[in-house]
Amino acid sequence: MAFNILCNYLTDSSSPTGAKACRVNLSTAHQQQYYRPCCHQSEYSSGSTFSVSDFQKCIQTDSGTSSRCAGGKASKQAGWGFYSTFSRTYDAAVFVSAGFISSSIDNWFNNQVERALDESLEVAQTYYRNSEANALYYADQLSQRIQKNKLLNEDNLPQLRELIINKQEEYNLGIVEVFSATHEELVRVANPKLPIIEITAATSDPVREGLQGIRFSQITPVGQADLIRGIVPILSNWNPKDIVGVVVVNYYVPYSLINKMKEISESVDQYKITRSIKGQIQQSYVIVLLLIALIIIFLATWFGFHLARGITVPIQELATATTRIASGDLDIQLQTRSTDEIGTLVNAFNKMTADLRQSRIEVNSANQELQSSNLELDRRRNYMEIVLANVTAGVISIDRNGHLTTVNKSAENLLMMNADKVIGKDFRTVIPSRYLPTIMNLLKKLFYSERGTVHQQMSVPIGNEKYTFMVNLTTLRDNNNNFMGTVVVFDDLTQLYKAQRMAAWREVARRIAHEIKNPLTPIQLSAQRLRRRYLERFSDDDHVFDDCTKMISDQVDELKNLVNEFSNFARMPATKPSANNLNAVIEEALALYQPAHKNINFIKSLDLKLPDTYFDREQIKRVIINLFENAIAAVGEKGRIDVSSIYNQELKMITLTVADDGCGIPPEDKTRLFEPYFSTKKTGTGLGLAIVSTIITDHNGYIRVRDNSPEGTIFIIELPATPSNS
Amino acid sequence: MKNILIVDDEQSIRQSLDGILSDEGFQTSLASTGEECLEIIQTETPDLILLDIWMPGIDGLETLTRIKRILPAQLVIMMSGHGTIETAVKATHLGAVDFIEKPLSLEKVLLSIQNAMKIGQLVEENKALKRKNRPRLPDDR
Repeated sequence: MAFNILCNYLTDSSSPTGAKACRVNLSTAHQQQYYRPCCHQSEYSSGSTFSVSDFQKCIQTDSGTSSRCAGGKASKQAGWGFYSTFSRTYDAAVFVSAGFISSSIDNWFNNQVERALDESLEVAQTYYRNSEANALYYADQLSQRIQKNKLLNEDNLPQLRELIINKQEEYNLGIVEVFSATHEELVRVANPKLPIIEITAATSDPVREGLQGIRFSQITPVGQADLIRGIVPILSNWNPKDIVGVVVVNYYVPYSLINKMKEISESVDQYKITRSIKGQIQQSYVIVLLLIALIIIFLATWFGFHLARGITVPIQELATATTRIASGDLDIQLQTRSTDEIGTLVNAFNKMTADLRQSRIEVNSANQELQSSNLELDRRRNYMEIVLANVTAGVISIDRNGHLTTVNKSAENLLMMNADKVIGKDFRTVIPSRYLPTIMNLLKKLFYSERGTVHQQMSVPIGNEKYTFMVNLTTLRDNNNNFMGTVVVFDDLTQLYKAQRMAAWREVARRIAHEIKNPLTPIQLSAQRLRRRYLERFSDDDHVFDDCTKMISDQVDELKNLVNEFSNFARMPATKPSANNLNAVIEEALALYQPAHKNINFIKSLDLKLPDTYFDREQIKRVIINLFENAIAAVGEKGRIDVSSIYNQELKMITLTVADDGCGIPPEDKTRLFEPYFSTKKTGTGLGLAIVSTIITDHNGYIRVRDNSPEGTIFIIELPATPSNS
Repeated sequence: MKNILIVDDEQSIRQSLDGILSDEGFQTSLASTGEECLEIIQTETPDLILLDIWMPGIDGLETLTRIKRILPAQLVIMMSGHGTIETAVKATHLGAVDFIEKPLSLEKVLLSIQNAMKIGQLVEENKALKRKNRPRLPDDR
């Protein structure tokens, strides 16, 4: 019933904790029921009603306190949790204890105890009554015997003694005494086993009463023992109303049963009194128990909240700190309040925060380093790209599968191709099949080369021209020495190659000049000496000596001229550039040739925007003259010669073209055209175009030859429009 | 009789020059290298030296420099088969009287020698005149 009330209350409060408590209390109710059979229902319930109502109060108070003092959600929960644990435990403990107390007290006041006490008292009383009856009986018997045999007579006194002794032994009596009417003790026989005790005085009240004819029994305490006395008067034979003496039969009860009886009676009385206040005792015990329980609950609750606060406050701080950490504030440092697990947790948290902070700093610096290295990498990559784009050497890279990955601008220009069209393709599909064996040979050489690099000079025909490349193949390997591909670097050696050949030719020309002119000297001198000494000796008719010496001298001159022209090429002076206008030089050259060749149509188209640039006027004039000579020879008697100058402002370049509609130049001759002593003309030294090429190279320019349409040849000269002296 | 020293590494040139100069009445000495030439001028003083530029060992220009160090007034005509204007100018700077180009022609050689002799003579005369007039000139030491 009490549990039901409690449950109802808790259910009404409709808090989850309440529900939980209800369940708990139901379970404790089950426990209680287990104890129920050993106690009285009514008593138990009256005892526990208090506890339940008190409990309700306690819960009410606690819920109020907890909500006020715990403050935070966490602490409230923890407090409730702690409280519910305690309440659960104490609930059970209090009910069990109350039940136990009730049953114990009930046991104390059990009726069996009372009945035992009463019966024992009755036994004692019965025994005493019996003893009194016996004493009276034996005293009657003795009295009648004495009366009948008139043993009170003076003469019969020994017989009386004998009778008394016999009867005492016969009935195992304690003490038997016979008193005369004159308060005289006639006989006294005592059981020898008895201790010597005080005997009845002849003048004592019992004897006096006996002599007055009263038959009675009496219990007299003697020390610890009791004497049960049966006192019977002895009547006279003559006058039954006359009392002649008194017989006293004493039963000796060694331990005072009377005292015991008294104690028992007192106990019974005491018990009864106590029993009347049994309810109060029970109540007071339960109250004390409940008070203790309450104190414990309060203490436990306080302790629980204290403990909870010891846990929740740091945990709350931890939670706040965690939120701050989550929002990025890593400078938080919690105070360590204790050395327990919470303290360890806080220390660990602080250490974690410090580690986080440290690692964040490290991560930040690493990030910065990474960023700067990224920037550096980017810068370097950009730089490399710029270098790659602007380097004059062609650079082509091929990955391990043979796909083209890089083709720089120079490579595009040199090979006259579009990088976008070939990148990502297999190089074997890009290169014309007739060059594949050469490339494969190179790759094979590269494969077997120890240093992973191969150089080779190669002549490559591109378009109408043949270029000389220095090709450098290098195997790309990563840090782990894995094959990454191949990089091909090639330089256009065409101009260098030409220049080298020119230099070689100049050296050859010098040597030839020397070697020819030296032997010419003695020939010449000898011939002239002969003429000088012996010419007069011959008659005018004899022309042989004159003719021959003259012939020798003339041929030496001829040879000398040839060698001199050769030397002119060989010892071409260094360019002496000065500020000049190319158009003016062209006009000058035209002025020389136009009047002399009326049948040839000279057409000039000069760029008037042409700026003054630095070049060697004489040498460039020589170039134009040589080209005119060449064109005139090509067109023959009649024809047309176009001369033009174009200025490209963006490239800062002047282009001079001399085109003819003459016989043209076969393709196989084109590559050798600028070499010395190469001539298609029957006359001429073969040095004209070689000199042109040398001068243009000396001016850092380019000369190329193209077929004119429909026929003829175009010489294209590109000169840098350098306004400076460099 | 004028003494001419011919310096050329080619024997044929030395020989032919020796021939024409002997015909003309010059006394000649021959040297095949620059070193030999320098040795000769230690003992004798030629009136004129015909010096080839391109020679093995020390070349003509270097020999000319050394000659001028020993005999500053020595008349030297340079000969070259591949002479450029630059070398000619350089030789003149170093003190050569003339520069003749190979192959040599008889007239040119003789004309050049005559001119050189004339210059030498003029220099000598000049010097003699200067010596004569010296007392009148202030001491220029």
